[in-house]
Amino acid sequence: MSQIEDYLLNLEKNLMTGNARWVADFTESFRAFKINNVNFDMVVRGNTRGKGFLLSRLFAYTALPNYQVACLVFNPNQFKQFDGQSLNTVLDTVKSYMKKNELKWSWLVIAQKGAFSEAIKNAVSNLAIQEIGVALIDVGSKTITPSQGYLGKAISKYIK
Amino acid sequence: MAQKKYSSLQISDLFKAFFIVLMILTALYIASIFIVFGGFWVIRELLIMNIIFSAIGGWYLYKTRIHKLFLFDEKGFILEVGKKEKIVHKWSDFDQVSLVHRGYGEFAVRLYYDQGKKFIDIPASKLKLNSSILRFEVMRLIKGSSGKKS
Repeated sequence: MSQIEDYLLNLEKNLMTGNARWVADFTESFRAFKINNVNFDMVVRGNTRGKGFLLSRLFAYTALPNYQVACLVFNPNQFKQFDGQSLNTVLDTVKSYMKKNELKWSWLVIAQKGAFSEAIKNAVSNLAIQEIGVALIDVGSKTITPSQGYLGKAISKYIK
Repeated sequence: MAQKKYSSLQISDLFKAFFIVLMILTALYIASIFIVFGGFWVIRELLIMNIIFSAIGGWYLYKTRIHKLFLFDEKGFILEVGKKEKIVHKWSDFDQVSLVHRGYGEFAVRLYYDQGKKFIDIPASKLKLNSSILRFEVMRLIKGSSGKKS
């Protein structure tokens, strides 16, 4: 099994049954998901209202908002050269997917084996999109470069 | 590819069926005792009979309404729920696959058809199958069948 596939399995498990459940209840995972000609390795959908049992379910129903959310994982190797323009293309794709599916927020994980260029690291770390948290992850060294904003800062804890 | 068959005993569902029948029989027992004697007495023999009938009734309810049987080969699959519900499909009917977490660690493989408007769930955890492996197997079969279709 490739390192990327291994990482995807672990991330999927963590999102659906691991500690990411404190952020959202991720319930459905798609693999090899194509959106507007961009191939995402994995798209995990969920909502911010957890199911729980008895009292926690009642609490979730009365106190938590029911926002639809997603975590999209993308491998940049499908682009000949992954630069700022490619990043914008992917972000536009994520935005259109969010609009179509009425998602409140999303995480975009850009995962590859090997280091990212400094230019793309700078581009991501300077991003400040309120409704999308972006992170670059080198699955070999587990180095994460997150974007700014609340979602960007939160993402690092859940995608390792 | 030979046809594969999965039909393991789903113990949690069997207990569920047993308790449903037990609750119904206990309610009937309390009501009938109250109507006949105008009060409530615990008759040990009747309570034991209740449990025995619940075990028989629970097993019957489980086998006829709840038990899941899943058969598949490279062309399609059959999913039977109890004796009354039988779902038969070809892999080529489907266009998308997902893995669904139903809560409490229970997973299913969801198959979308009719351009994503309708879906069928294969209850992988209930069938004691590895949901992730089944998902990839189903994705491969759907891809293979759509290749043959075109």
